[in-house]
Amino acid sequence: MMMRRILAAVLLAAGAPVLACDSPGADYARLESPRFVLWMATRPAPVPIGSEFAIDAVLCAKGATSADAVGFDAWMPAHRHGMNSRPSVRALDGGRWRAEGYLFHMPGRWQFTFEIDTASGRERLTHDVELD
Amino acid sequence: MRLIALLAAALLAHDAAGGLLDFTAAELRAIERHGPWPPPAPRDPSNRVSGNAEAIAFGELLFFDTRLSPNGAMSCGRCHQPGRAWTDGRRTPGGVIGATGRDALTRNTPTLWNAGFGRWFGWGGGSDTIWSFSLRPIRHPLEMGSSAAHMARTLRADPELACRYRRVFGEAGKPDEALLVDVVKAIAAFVETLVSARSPFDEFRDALARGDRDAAARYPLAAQRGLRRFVGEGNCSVCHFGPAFSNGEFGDIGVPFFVPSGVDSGRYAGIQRLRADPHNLLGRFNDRPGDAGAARTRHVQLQPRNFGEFKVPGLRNVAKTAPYMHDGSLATLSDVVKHYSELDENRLHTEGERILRPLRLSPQASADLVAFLESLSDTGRYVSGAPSRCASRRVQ
Repeated sequence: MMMRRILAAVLLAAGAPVLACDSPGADYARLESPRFVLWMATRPAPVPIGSEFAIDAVLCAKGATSADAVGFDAWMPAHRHGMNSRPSVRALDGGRWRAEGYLFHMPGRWQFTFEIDTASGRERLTHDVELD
Repeated sequence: MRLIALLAAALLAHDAAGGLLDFTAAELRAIERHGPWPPPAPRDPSNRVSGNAEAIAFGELLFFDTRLSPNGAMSCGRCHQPGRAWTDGRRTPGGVIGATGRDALTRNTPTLWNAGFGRWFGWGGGSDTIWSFSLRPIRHPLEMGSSAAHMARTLRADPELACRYRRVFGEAGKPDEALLVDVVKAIAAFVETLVSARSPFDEFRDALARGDRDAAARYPLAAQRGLRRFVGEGNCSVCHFGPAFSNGEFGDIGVPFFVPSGVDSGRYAGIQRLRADPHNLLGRFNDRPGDAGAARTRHVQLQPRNFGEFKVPGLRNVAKTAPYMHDGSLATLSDVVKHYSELDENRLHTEGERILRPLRLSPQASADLVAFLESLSDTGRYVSGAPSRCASRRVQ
């Protein structure tokens, strides 16, 4: 699949403070790249097949690196296709983000992807879920 | 050859005796996902009369009323015939309306069974509700060729229709366009009630779910083998997912999309039409604009791979809805199975999903799949639910 460039991106304020990387809640999954930690939880959980859901996410930088933008997406690697919908992203309080409009339209392995743009390049975090 | 004949005879004898395949835990989970049936009645939050008994009766009357077309010859029920599983039984409806060549309608008339459980409507999904979809055939010059003005005139002039309208929506003194939208919402309320009844598959699925092997063993072995292939190596249930046997989305399955007027781009044009439609869920005719259901229209995205994708149809009562595919090009279920068995991968988009592979089925395996598909039929018949006359009731 031609992995689409950022589907739903949120631009982050330059110089945003580095957030603490503690878990926001027991239902959050922890994703990690060399310079960032991202916590994500689906709403609702578990992910339903064939109906819309959202994800809540918190992005933390491990050091002084700041993210310029984060792209939210998901796809099925085995089928080489993504979703039929494009999530929209909005800020919540406490440094959290909500991405709405996800819809996984078939069973199988789906992969959430988060592409983080920084001044010195892009980092990609992924999280797999198996929908049975 | 003699050995094959002996094996076939043994297989048939085994089928007749009944039995139960040794389904794996994964297969049982996959089978269970196709039920229970029926689910709770569908409701459309964007339609304030969805589920309203008076609206359903009014909608049923409108559905079959040919006066809604200016020439008095067409109604919804002319193409969606109850006796033909709410289809017209034709490859495409062109013959019904007399149009041919470039002007002919080039898509097969889909069944209305279980339409209320869908997210998108039409082979290209150009509408996000049944009521907004209904506006298209009503207005299309090759179908009913009607208009808001004609619809309003007809409704206001007929005591029975006017009486029923009043009972459901109040006085009919509103603008013609708003009145037309009310009419299609009543029709949609009726269409939502077209939920197929239970099938032999449902009895089998439920028997498996409760661990009743004796009851499950009454389901023909050929259908069991077909079902195993359907949820297994065939990958059919990836798209024909859930209790309605459709994930409600779209796929390119290698059916040609060339039509006399050029190309039917399917979902690609469907999304464009959806976005341009003032009657979509984001528009002012949505009776509950803040409802989460509108999110699907807000978030749908147009992608190159949508070109040549068509709606994944539900499979309940599929044996009654021939011919098949968006263009009605396959006459029988055997033809459909053959299509997937001999799939021409060159016809799939290069960006297409890696789900489809030629199944290369044996004659026995093909027959098994057909047996399974036939087991999705109910034995129910449509019975009109329209109550006694509204206008005369008022007089009394």
